[in-house]
Amino acid sequence: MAARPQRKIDRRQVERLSHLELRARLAVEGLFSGIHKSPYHGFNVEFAEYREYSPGDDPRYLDWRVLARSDRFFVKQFEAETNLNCYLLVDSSGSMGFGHDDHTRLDYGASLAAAVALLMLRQGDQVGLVTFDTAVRAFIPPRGNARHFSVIRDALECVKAGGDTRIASVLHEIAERVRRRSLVVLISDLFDNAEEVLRGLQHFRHRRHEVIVLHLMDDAEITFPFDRVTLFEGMERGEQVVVDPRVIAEGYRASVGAYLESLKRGCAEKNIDYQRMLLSEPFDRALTAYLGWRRYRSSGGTRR
Amino acid sequence: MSFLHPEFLWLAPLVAVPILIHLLNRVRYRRIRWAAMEFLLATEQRAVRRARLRQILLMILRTAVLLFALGALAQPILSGALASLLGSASQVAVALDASASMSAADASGSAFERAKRLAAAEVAALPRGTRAAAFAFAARTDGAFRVPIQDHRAIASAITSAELTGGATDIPLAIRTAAESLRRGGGGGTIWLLTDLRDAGWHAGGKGAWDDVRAALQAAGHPRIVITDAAPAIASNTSVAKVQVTPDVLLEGDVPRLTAAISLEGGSGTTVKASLSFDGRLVDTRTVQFTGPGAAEAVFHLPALPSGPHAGYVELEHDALPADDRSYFVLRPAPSIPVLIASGQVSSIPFESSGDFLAAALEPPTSEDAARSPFTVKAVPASQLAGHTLADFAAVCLADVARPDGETLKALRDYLAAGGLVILFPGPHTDTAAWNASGLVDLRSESALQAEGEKHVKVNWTSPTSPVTATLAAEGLDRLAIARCIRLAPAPADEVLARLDAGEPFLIRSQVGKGKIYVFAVSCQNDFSNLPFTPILLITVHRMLHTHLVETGEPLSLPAFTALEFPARPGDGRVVTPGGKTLPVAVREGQPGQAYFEQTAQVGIYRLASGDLGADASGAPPLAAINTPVEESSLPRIQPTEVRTLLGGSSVYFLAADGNVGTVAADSPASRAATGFPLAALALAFILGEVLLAWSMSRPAAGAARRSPAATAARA
Repeated sequence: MAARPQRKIDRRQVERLSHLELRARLAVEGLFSGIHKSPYHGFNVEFAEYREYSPGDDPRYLDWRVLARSDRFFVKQFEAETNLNCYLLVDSSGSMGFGHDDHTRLDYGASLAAAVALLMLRQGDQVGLVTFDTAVRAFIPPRGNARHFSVIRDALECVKAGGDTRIASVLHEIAERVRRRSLVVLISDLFDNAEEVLRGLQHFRHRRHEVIVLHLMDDAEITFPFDRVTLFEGMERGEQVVVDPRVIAEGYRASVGAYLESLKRGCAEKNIDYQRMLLSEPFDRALTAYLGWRRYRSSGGTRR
Repeated sequence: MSFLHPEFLWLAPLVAVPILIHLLNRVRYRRIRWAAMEFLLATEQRAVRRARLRQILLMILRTAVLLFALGALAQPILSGALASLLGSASQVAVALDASASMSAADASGSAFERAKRLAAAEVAALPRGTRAAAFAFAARTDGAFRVPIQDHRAIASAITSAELTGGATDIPLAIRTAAESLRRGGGGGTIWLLTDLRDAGWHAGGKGAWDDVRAALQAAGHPRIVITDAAPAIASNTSVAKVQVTPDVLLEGDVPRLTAAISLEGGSGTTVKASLSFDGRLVDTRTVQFTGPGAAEAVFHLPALPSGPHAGYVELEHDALPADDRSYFVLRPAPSIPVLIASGQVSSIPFESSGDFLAAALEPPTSEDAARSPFTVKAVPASQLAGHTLADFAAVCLADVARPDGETLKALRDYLAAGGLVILFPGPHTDTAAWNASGLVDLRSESALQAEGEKHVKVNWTSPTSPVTATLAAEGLDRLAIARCIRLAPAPADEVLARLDAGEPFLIRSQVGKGKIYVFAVSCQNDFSNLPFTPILLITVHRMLHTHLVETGEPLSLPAFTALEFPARPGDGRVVTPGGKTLPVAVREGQPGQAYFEQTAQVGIYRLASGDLGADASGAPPLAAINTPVEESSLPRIQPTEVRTLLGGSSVYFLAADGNVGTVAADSPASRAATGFPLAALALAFILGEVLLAWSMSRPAAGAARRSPAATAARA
């Protein structure tokens, strides 16, 4: 029985973002020619660099002109541009159901994933989708055809928040399943042990995948703006605790701040793009800003 | 525990409000589904425990604030406050109110007995180093320990043996005496006044009395003043305010009418039974109806009185203040009123002697009139005046006495000094110069009327208030035919009772010592005027005697602490008090003619029991009735604010040592100082504590952040 749609992804809003471009920063393996750098050198058209000849190199790639001028053996290196396999890992644990006015974090993440999927498909890449909580709940392998977006969109519309979170173990599982170097986009609130999450992400990096972490947070989860005694009910395990926010606000903020900082620093150390997105900011604007920054950084700029 | 303002205790449920708020806060909370539980739980574990502790502390603080605020309003009487106030002083002067109003009683006994017990117990429990003095007081002070000593047991014993008096309260006297005791003990310390705070006692002695008190307190180093209110609450009080007997000059055989003025203060209408006991037996009973607070009269008729002293009392059914429910009185009807007439010119021819008309006026010659006359006249030549004991006579009339010799003059002066009455009629033989030299009167020469012959003149009775002459004009007794008269020269202090048309003084009255001299400007013979033939002579002389007897007569009763005075004669005397004690009378130093007895502290009948001091002509021993002063029946109590005003800069504490002593005056600023103020200060301290707690709660829970797993992960 087909799952009932939980949300409606606004295709028009998603399509407004399809003109954007998401290039892999690192080399990815593609079957078709595309806009991304390929790790396979030699056959393509774009010159990359010279490398001193070493025995075993194909002599066809010797640069005879350099040899004639300098009497030294250099081999020409070319970069291949290829298409990209992109895996969208969407967290569907219970905590993703958090939100305001019937607009949950998962809604936001689904829209975001749909937008990324569409723009990737539009630029000729192949996009797959993985939804997970404590385990992988749906795995849609990457495809590049036009109809694949509908498959992904339908899957995103039907995904339902629930269950506990075990991001780290899921990341390890997916990392084992994805063999070809790909772009992995993790869309999650990352409410799990930070050290283990980073270890899971490191697993992707170990397999030469490029990883983008889109960390979805609500403003309230950072600022903790409550001012009277409140019963907080956990969205995953259902635990309840009554607290006076005035008492714990500062400690909470400090704790969350330290956690975010540790994630950011850990991702930076592992050459992982980490982008925190606030649910108060429309996802299109947030994604546009992120991709703009990413392009700027790829061209040699640094983050402001 | 008792409270000064128990009416505030109905606010007690408010104390539960913080507890309810605390509980409601636990129940009434917002519910939020929350994703970032990891951080919440990490922070919550210790912070919430601390928050719960803070919440409980906050609840306790708020409850305590309300509790202490309630306490500040209701002002609990702290059992330890009195002991600490007394024990912290180096010396204590205990002034125990023994006035009649302290007889006020409820089911647990009289205020006086309770105050005594409390005072004795507290004094006995004083720290060893604290010296104590003690005295009982009413209108006078009574106590052997005026200088503070360390023998607390002796002081306590003296307090225990103190007796309730029927006297009025004199608070200024008590505080002055206590301050003097402390001054003798080196100054400082505490004055402990155990009283019932009746308003009248605080105004005894007038305003000047409090100036003396403040000066005494200053001299004693401004001792602390602790006032214990020992009075039970009395809603209403009936009392015998006054007893009056008519006629006011009683003679043997009179059947007097006795009117008892009964008053009801406070409460609503009531019926009071009043009974009259006389000479040891119940005479009659009256029922007096009151529709509300006010006064009423009970009228009794006494039996025909034989001569000699008689005693009785009017009594009401006892109420909460029994001291004023009985009023004693003493009656002493005389066989007659003895009058001595000294004539300057004596003749064997009737009405030729200068005193004959006067004698006839006082004691009519006909047997029927004589029987009705209250006077017994003894006429003697002026030369024999000194040979008589003038004190035995109610009045001495001098008719045309030429000049007083030395002995006569001395006898007259002594007689006047003791309160005698002299009526002087000058005459043709009167030596005005000799009389002027006596210093008793100031006579001038005869007036010009002599040359003009007898003349009808109008007598202007000039004193509208004198009971002797006030009504004569209205009675048409203002015409005389005067041929001659003596010109009188009244001194400024003399009262001119009548003047002739020309303004000449006709009748003057002079005060000499306690006695009085009336001087007519004409003789009591027909040689000067027709005065002897008119009713004016008879009426004026009768009224002079009557007024004098009323003014100098024995009162029906005296207030407690009034000294009973007796004319002293050789010998000694004993007075039997109402309590049956026989006590000696004293003779005043330098006044051998005067004996006195001052210890009239108890109400009742005092009798002279032995000796011949003061025995009257009948030989019966004198009696005196001592009663509670009417002001002791008054229920209003002084306000503590007024007490503070009266006591100037001294620290005043209104306290009760325990709930059994009675209630302390309401709205007592000093009570607030003793109990309310510390409670208010505590409440303030708790409010401050709450502010501090709220401030501490607003500080970041940095520890929680340091201990969170996320932070641990971040460090890792």
